[in-house]
Amino acid sequence: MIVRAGAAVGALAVLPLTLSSYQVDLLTKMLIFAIFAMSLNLSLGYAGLPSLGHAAYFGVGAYTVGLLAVRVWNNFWVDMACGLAAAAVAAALFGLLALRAEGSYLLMITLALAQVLWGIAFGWRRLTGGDDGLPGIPRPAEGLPLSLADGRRFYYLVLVCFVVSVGVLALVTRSPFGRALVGIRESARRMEVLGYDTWRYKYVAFVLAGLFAGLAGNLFVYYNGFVSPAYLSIVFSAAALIMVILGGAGTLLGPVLGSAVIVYLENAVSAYTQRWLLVLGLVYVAVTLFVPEGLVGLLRRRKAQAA
Amino acid sequence: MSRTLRFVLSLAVALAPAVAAAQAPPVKLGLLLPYTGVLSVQGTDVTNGIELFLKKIGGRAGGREIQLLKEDDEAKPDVGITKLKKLVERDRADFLVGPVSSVVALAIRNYVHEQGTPLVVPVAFTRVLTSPQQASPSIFRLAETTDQSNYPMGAWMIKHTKYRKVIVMATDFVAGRHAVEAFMAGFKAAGGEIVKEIYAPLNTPDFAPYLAQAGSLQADAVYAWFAGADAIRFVKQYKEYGLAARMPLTGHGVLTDDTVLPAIGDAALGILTMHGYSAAVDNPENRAFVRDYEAAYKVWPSRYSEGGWDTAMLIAEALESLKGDLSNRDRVREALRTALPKLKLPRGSVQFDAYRQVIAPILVTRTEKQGSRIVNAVVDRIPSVSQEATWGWWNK
Amino acid sequence: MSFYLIQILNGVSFGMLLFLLAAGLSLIYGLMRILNLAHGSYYVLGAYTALSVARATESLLLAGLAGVAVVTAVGVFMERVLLRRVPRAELPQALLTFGMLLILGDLCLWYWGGTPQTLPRPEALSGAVQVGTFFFPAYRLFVIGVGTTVGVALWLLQEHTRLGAMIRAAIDDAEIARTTGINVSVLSTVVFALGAALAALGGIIGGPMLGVYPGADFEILLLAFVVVIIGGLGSLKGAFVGALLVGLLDTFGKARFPELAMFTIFAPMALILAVRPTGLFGAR
Repeated sequence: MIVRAGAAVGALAVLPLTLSSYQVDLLTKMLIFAIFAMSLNLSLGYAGLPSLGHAAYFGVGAYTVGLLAVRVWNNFWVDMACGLAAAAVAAALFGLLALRAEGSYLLMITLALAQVLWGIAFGWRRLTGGDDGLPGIPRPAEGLPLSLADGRRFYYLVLVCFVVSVGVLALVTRSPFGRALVGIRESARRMEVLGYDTWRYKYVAFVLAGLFAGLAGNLFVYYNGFVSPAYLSIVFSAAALIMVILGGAGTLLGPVLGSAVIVYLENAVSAYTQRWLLVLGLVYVAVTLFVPEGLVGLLRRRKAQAA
Repeated sequence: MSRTLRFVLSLAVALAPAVAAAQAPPVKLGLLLPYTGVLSVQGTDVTNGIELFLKKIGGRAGGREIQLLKEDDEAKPDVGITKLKKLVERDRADFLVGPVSSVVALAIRNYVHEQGTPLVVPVAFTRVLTSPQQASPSIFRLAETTDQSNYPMGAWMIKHTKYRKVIVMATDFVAGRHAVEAFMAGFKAAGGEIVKEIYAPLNTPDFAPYLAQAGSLQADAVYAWFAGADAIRFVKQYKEYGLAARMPLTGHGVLTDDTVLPAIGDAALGILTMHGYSAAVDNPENRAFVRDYEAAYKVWPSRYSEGGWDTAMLIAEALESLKGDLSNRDRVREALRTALPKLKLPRGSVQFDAYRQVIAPILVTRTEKQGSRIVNAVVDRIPSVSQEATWGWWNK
Repeated sequence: MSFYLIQILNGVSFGMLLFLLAAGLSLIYGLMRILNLAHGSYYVLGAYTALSVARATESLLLAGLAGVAVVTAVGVFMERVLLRRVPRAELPQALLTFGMLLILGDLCLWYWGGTPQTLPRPEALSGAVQVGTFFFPAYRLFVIGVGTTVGVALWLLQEHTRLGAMIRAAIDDAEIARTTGINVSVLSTVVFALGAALAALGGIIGGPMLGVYPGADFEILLLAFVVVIIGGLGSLKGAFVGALLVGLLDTFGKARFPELAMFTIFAPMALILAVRPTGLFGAR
């Protein structure tokens, strides 16, 4: 397992040397969205908490970093730390409200909360630039030994964050905490009878998911140099959802696969046609109809059948 | 020598120049424009203007073929950045053209500056782009800034009309706000009073709440800035709510530009606006341009079409002077800069200032019916307005 | 004074459009527990279809009928062919309907282009009515009329017809309804079709007032969501009251606090969800 992981990381580390700057850029985007999807997976796939508003924490992280970098103090460590903290706080607050609901109501309340943030970002022009957003956010440079303005150098930062995220999430999901979460997802009542405080487990998972979504948001705002209310919208939340479901909810690396497929598809399809959203919509429909267990589930099934 | 061999050789000699020319790769113009959304008509018009000019010169300049690569920025900054990266890094565009949206322009400015690909801006008029702080050697703007086309209206109104108290209404985004800021600064500097500022979000379908608010106040006129579909709805609803009788509508040219006039219809009559171009401008170049444009596209050209035409003319002229050699970016930039004063544009003659912002004539027009068509008839013309003459109120 | 009256009429007319959408969304959820995120597309597709038919035939009546018919067909297709194949869980259903929202939205963009359009309004309703020192567009009064009529008709359907009784029974408890001989399967399709038709009607009536453009589907869907959450899922009265509330909040919010315009709608929604998750009139 460790050997395979090491080989994969090694491959990802060496890849930029053979790729064009445009391709490295694309790979960077894939890794950022992989982190975003994995964060949602913790909430959805492991804790069984579906959310139509996960972009809220992504966006909060992004806006925090953006606002600090442009208006207050452009220092990589400070801005990143604040971005992560803001995302975690948002998740902590929203979790208190959201976890009172289940099923459709959970979907709706998470959407509603994300929309409240969207409304603030959209309306409070003086702070956030409103619908115009905040342009001109520089790549991380201050506070670091060298500037990450170069695409390849920035890629390595994202890669490090990705590896750390995978590592932490792997540890969490394989720990007793993680196993309890799965138990709660399967049957909360049974776990309660066994003496688990199910609410607390779900809450911790929710906040942790928000934290990692914030990390993805932080990186994305550096990637684009720009932040806008779109980062808080249902479009981003739904994209994370489909990446998780396409890859395989409840598996560690499913979301990574899902995000790679979606980002790659978007890039490939957009080169030939304007109809990317049509294709994306078809992906949503096809996945829910034909591949509900995700690609990883599909691969496992094939392997089991072959064996 | 055998007859066949001689034949083949003469054929080769005859074809050689064509082959050699065909071997020089085409010059790639990357167009970053909105093809969907509220500003989509402007994006299409710019493209039409470019294509019309290229057709006129046979699609070639400086000995090379010109190829257009069109990307839809949807007037959204994040989409704009993504598509721009595609144009620059994957498609290796030699020149960039666009955008329409000022918001997109601001978002892409750093990237263009870093990459060094020359960008010709036909429409986006945010003053920030060519201000002393943000101007870039790679960015050349052919459209007047919001200051150039709004600030002078204040003084003009005080001098030529009886309006002394004005309500200002605009779309709540960069372009709208900057435009009315400039007008207000000019109007107040000339002694006028601003009664209220009312802003509506971009793509507001229903201006009822805002119009009702304006209607409840006392003023001599309304100065408005709304673009595209917003302009159509706003002007129509302005008439429907009966405000036109009490408070004449005035505004920036975007309110009644030639793209929206046909859709607004009679509700647009009598509106006083200021802009850099009207299809009703009377000079030989413009008459020819309007005639060719109408023949090709069945409608009159707008300032966006004219912007596209000017852009293509500028790039073609630069290519000619470089003889198609784009290897040295500094020389390309210099060629663009020096080409402009030589051109005879439909709007007249213009030049670049020190920040590569155009110094251009500004028109005051009033919408009226000429025959069966509603046009922006020229009422007054201010020959050469520069951004520096109009930025005193913010660039101290 | 007339300023307030105008704003109230504005808010109510906008609210009526929202009601047409929210009623359908609420009914569909009430009976089938499906959150139909494609509802926004029904609005837009209805408007666009009516636009094309109006241009081709010069008949606004035909345009309206065509718009409703096309969207109802799409709704029936979605319900019978797609939604039945998906497990009865909220996430797959939400993703499926969201996928349809994207697909329909892009198809509309492809066919009708990116420029915002306005539907033509009937000559008779193009004028304005004088209210104090203002003029109020007659068309908006028409919209208020239509919305109220539809509201009354739906209420009559729900309370005083057999179909309405069957729907109410099935909403209360589908299992028991089935045992009394009610064909819940057919009923589901009927309700879904009705919801789609209402949304299409909203688009057709709203088209001359608000126009139709890419992105309108998302915008109207989110607003309908707010209405349904505030009013309560599954309740017709809730949809009506919620729609009026949101219409007025939106109008006054834009007039008084333009900076907070979006916030004034979403914050009450979040508040209701926190305090009374089932909405003002929702059951369970």
